[in-house]
Amino acid sequence: MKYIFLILFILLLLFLQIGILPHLKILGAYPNLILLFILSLGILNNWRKNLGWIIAAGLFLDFYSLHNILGVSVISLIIAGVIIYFLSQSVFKKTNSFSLILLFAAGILIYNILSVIIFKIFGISFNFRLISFVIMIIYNLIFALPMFYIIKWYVGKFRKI
Amino acid sequence: MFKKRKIISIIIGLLILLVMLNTVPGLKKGLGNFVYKIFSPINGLFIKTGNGIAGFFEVLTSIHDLNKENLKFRQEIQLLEADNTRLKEIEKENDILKEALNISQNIRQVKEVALISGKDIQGFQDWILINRGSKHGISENMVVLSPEGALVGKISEVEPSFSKVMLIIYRDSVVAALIEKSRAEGLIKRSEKGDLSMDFISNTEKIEIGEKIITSGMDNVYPKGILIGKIEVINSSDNQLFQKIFIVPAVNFNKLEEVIVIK
Repeated sequence: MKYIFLILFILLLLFLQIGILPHLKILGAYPNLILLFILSLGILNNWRKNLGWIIAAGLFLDFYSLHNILGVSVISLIIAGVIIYFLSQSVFKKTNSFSLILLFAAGILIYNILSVIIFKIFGISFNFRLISFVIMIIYNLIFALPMFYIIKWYVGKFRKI
Repeated sequence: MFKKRKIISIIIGLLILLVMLNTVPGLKKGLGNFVYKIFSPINGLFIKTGNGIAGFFEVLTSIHDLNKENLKFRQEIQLLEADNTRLKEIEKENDILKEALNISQNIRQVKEVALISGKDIQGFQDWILINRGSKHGISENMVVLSPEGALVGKISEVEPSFSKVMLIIYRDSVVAALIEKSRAEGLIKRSEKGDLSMDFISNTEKIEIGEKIITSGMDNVYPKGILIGKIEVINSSDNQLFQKIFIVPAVNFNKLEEVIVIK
């Protein structure tokens, strides 16, 4: 049952991402709910337990991207998820709001930088503006804590995912 | 130990899967088509809902301007109706003259209406997914218009039941265009700031804010005469040889729900 709810939750995030969030665009930037979901899981759970969810969410992101290579988002999400898990276990052990914000900021940066590096390696062109990049990070951080507490509540309910 | 092995085998399996998906011909397209087919009805519903909510808030914020706009549009409709009647007469005259001169008529364009069933969800690129693909006779580089006939972009990738449309606001998009009144030609690209711009227009050309920009057909992709947008800003000075214009697109790409593909 818990898996079905989680799959439905990922799908809901995907549909919100496609249908609703583009209307909240500021200078081409809007939040990536699926990334925030994976980062929240990365902070709350051991990354090994998250692997299946990361792969599923990453494949969704890849299918709904224009680039011709499947796996850019999957690989970026796995690496970001693993780093976030280790950071949450070592550098930011206390889960107060400030350390959570820092963790999410690190995760968002890692994911986007990795995506850009992979795009560059495979010669995929993409729109990049520093101001949009900064807005995108701030925008994601606004949505990060609500997402984290929803996932925390869910994880607490089922103990482990 | 067992867990470590399991993780390693999952990652190796994933890498093999990704390599296969990206290299075996047709595999990615088939899977993509399957995924889009399953999710496109719900996607479409969310896109419609999103547009509805955005439209509602837009109406709320612009309610005090509606009366003025209504009057202005009524006047514009009257002018356009007059223009329309005159143009129909000219069209008839043109047909008669073409027949008399034995000039072949243009082949009528076949149009396919498509619904939008997906959008770029990461904001890296600007594209939309439509529910028409190779099964419906869609192929790469076909031109895509809004229901009002303004330029949206071109088909960049085709799957059996779906196609991806590269919007004109995409970084690599280039459209040969001309300014409707002055007939000055140029290329429309995405500027560094993210808006559409047209460069290298001679300083001697007299252009005004609000003038329409249409396709020139010189790129052999977009047929001549499709509306792209209007001039929003003109960058010019006496000591420069060229002026640069910034264009506001005629299409609100966030609100598109359906498009027309020209075959």
